[in-house]
Amino acid sequence: MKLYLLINDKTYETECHPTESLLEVLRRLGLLSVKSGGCVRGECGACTVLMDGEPVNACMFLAVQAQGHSLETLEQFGQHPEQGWKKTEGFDPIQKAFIESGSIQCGYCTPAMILAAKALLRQNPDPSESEVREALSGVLCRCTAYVKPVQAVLKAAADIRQNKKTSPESELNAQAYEPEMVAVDAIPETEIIGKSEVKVDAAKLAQGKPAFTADLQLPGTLIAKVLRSPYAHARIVSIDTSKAKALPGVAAVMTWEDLPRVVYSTAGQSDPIPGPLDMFSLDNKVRFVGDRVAFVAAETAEIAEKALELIDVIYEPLPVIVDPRDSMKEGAVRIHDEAEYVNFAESNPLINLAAKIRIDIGDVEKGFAEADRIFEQEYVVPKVHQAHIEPHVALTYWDEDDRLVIRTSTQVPFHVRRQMAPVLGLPIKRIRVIKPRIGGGFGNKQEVLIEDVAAHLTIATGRPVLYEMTREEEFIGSRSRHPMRIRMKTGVKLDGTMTANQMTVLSDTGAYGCHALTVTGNTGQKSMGLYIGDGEYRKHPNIRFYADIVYTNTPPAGAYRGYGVPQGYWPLDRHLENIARSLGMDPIEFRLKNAIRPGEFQPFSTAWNEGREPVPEVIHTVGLEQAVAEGRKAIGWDEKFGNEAWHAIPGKPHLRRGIGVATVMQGSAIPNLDMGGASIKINDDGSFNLLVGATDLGTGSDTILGQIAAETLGVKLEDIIVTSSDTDTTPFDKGAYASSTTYISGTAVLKAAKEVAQKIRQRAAQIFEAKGEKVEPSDVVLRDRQAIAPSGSQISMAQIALDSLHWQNQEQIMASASHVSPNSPPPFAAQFATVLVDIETGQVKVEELIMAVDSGVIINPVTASGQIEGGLAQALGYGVCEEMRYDANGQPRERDLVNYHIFRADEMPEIRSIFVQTYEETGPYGAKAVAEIPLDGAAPAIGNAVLDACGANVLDNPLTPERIWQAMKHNLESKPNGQDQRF
Amino acid sequence: MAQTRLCWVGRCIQMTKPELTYARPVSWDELESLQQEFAERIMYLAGGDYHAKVKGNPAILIDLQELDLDQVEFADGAITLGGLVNLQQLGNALESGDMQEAISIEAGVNLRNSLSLTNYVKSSNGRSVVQLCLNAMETEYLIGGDEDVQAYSPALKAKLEDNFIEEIRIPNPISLAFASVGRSPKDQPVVAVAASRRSDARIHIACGGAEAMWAEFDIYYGDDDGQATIRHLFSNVRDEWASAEYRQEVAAVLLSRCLQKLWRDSYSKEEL
Repeated sequence: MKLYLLINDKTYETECHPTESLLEVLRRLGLLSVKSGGCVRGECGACTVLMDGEPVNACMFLAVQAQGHSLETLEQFGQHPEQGWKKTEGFDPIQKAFIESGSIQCGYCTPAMILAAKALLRQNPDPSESEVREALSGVLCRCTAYVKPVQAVLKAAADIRQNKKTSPESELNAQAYEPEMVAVDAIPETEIIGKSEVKVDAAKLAQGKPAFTADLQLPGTLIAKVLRSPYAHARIVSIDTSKAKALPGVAAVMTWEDLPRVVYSTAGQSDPIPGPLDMFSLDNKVRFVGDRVAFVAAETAEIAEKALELIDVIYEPLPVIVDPRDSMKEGAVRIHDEAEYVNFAESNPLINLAAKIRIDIGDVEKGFAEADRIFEQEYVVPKVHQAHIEPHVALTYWDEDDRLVIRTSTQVPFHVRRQMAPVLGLPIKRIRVIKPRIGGGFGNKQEVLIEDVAAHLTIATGRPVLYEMTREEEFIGSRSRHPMRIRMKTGVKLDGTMTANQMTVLSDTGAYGCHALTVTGNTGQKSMGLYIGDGEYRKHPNIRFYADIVYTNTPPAGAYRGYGVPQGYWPLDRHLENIARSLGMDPIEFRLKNAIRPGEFQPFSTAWNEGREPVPEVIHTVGLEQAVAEGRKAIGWDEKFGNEAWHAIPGKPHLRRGIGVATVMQGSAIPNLDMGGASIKINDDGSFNLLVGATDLGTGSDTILGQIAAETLGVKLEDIIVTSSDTDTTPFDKGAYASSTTYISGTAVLKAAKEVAQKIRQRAAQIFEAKGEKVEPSDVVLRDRQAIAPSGSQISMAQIALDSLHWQNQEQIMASASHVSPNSPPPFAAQFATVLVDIETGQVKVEELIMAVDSGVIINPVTASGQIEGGLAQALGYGVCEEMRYDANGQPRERDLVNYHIFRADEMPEIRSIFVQTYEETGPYGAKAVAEIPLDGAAPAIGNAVLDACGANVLDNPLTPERIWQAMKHNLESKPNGQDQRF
Repeated sequence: MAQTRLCWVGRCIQMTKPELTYARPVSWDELESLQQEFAERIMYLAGGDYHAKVKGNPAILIDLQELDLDQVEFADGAITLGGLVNLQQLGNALESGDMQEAISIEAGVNLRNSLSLTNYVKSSNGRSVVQLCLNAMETEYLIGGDEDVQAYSPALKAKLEDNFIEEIRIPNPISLAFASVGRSPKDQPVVAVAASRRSDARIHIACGGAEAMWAEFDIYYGDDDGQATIRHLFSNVRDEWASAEYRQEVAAVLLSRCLQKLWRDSYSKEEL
């Protein structure tokens, strides 16, 4: 039928089927700022448009319903101010505020947020913060914690009221939004480093440009869908695809019988994969509800879905293991009985063991014997989901050279290429992987999860294929954080000296062993490694970390921001809190007394290295004490802790306040393994192309790397054109994980930039000499786009470029470099929380989360604080509401973002970040990592605050109302004096 | 908005749906005529739904948006809303802080602006807190083509699978109190109670928090505090979200809070 839609004051005439949703039609019309979150209950809001001025979800209407209404999308609001000879009015004030404030991380929800803000400010030009939060409540964001978007809308409102003109892009300024910064070490003066430069991708994302994987629309593209198992464990007896294949519009149906049987791991990691190979693209056995059974490619999504319904599968159900405590029991059903299974280290499919870790540092039994008291307790942490708003999506096609192009939302493009090659039967050289902008990943896109689906179908049909997971598939068929059952045993002297510390872990990897070993290794390494004891124990700490990582018939776990460390800090820090209180010690003093200090070994580095030879590492920069001091001051610890008047709420005896702290440590990359490369060349105008394999998944790494290059080359950030993550055109990089990009890829950029800078100095010295001024290259200073001689004489970068490219002794000034580090200097942090607990219902409301962090020198304060804020929001969910559960048959409870609740803008606590800057000599310009550490301590800090509020010692995360209520009830029933006696 | 009937036959790109007509009647007579013509093969488009999708194999999609079903009227102390009124309009109409809170828990702004009451009621379950509040206020529903109003029930929901709400009537919408417990301030609750003071001195109470649970009962001022009843109602309500023991105890607490609030509201109104 003909459809007429009034969009952005223009009438679009299009052919449309009445069943098409407004979302589908808008995207088909090229209005690609309207995004899909794959949801089916309108819960994510990524597809927001304005209908008659009100924000609505385009997925909730058929396109035909929109005829006769006025629609607005982001495409009509503002644009780049400088377009060659054509000048425009520039960005809308809301876009400008979003760009400047650092509100745009991955940028996937940005168009929706800007539209929601637009609707608000038209009706209410002077909104309060709560009104802004309310207006943004329909758009879920997993990156920002809404802190900066709310600031941006308030700032835009003020600018609009004052009728401020928007600035050209070159004048955008983020410095009004800078977080609190405290210097511990002397930080050298810099021009670009340490400044809140606007993100290099912010302008395009603020305009909703088609920057994401699914935004490339190739003619003839087929839509892929995956048939998923309804059983948690079953053999496939037969599959009849004849009816599906006969359906008009179906281009291919594939089952395990159609594909070569290549065993692999989906974990996107360096070679060799440190884990078992136990997965096939399609298999004759399913191992969890949601496991793959068949692939379909069809002309439309609707036809593909219909085809899935027409595939007849006969299953032979097998016994199901859901509880990891059953996995290794005698007689347990074997989940991996395939002949092709490839062991890694101590994995053993005969007993459902995916990995095993045994680490002994010092003499733990001697340490326990020397203790005055021993504390033992078991804790449980849940399986949780990354919940990035852009689902996994891949587009594959043959290019004109018969090479397979995989355009995919991945954190690991180079691993995708290497790991997919054998699965697809192609040599690596015939695969090109391109990573466009990613709408969040948080570890889930460190998985080579979906590229094979689209690629097999492209190989089968010869046509482009787009595979985009639905929100339900994300929950049942992607990856998650490993749930664990963790037993702590700690020996202490009465003065608080830790004599021995032991963590024993049962980790559930689900149906496949991706990241099983390395995630769980991190659980011990980066949590238990923080506390070594005091006095003589500092030299000879006694630490034991044992873990069994077992298979179950649940969706596989994998990488999730924090990579095992949040699982470690819940039990460890809750345990330390209980010990401190039991000893009558100040909880902060107890932690700091036993924490690692500068000049000491990271104890785990002496004993473990992810299955490789350990390399002992001394930690040089530890800003933990300063972080504690700053956080303590910011949250008002001294006024609140132990102050009964603060804990009580006058007139509301059912409410109690509490305050808690956790201290944490992460790492910066995997030492001696993670490698990143960079390449820089000069252009005629003195600008530079920076090519990096590093993957910016919304974190701002392209910007950070650009700043490092700009600082070193003495130019502005806008002079650095950053191109990243294309396996054909950029150097290798391991990808975005392990908090490695700034530290590893940043150092690669620094090395390459130094080499280019040296060539520029040499060229400048030659030009100075030709002008009669003798200058040593090493004396030339590069600053403000100039090469400056000691005399003050200057040559512009553009002159140097022209000289080298055109005028004399022509050469391309360029350099490439790569970096791998023997070090992994940890960032440190103190995380504080205050809570309000309803002691009659157990409901907890987190009121404040404050994090003071030592991440070395902060290269870009606004983007770094965005990392902290967004990480804290995810950690908040881990603390109070996020959890994935399965019934006895392995059926998942959480299949959408309603039952799996992530925080909305209108329910966030106050969030604040403070940077305590040390200078890490091994990092680029003194930097360490920042992205993962916020995930580590918020949950235990909230748990400790709940304990402080009402005495509820909750051992299982998250802190649901019933768990708190049960813990309070337990106190009343068994501990009339209110003391926790569960030790 | 165009005042002429819009009616097209779909282009045949979906082989499984060879022909599908879309119509947007502008009068009830026109609607009736379409109903007679297509009989059982109608799917109504009654405003925004959780997920815009054509279900089954209808011959016609009848879009109801031109039939003034998005109107709100106040008369004789009651509020009457059309079935295409959305959640946001409902909140604006009621001016009840507790209803606003329930709507806010139910959804963020976009979804509230999109979702019609017909589609909300059709999809509601025991964790749908706006429905809980509507039930506490003894809301009545007139289904398209029916002559009599009816209360919320499984039968009503079933009927909405292939019909729409013509009218929603909230009689005497006064003094609503709502309380709930969830994992976060805007999470769907595991226990929820709504209470409304009725004109005949009754207090009507609706409680939920589990998908399959719907319960309503009355108490009278001075006669009963409802504690025993509500504990009994929750005595077997256990699922993966919460135990029955917890729900019993917390529902009793929430009921007590709702009653106190109604009492406070009533007292402050008398003072005024």
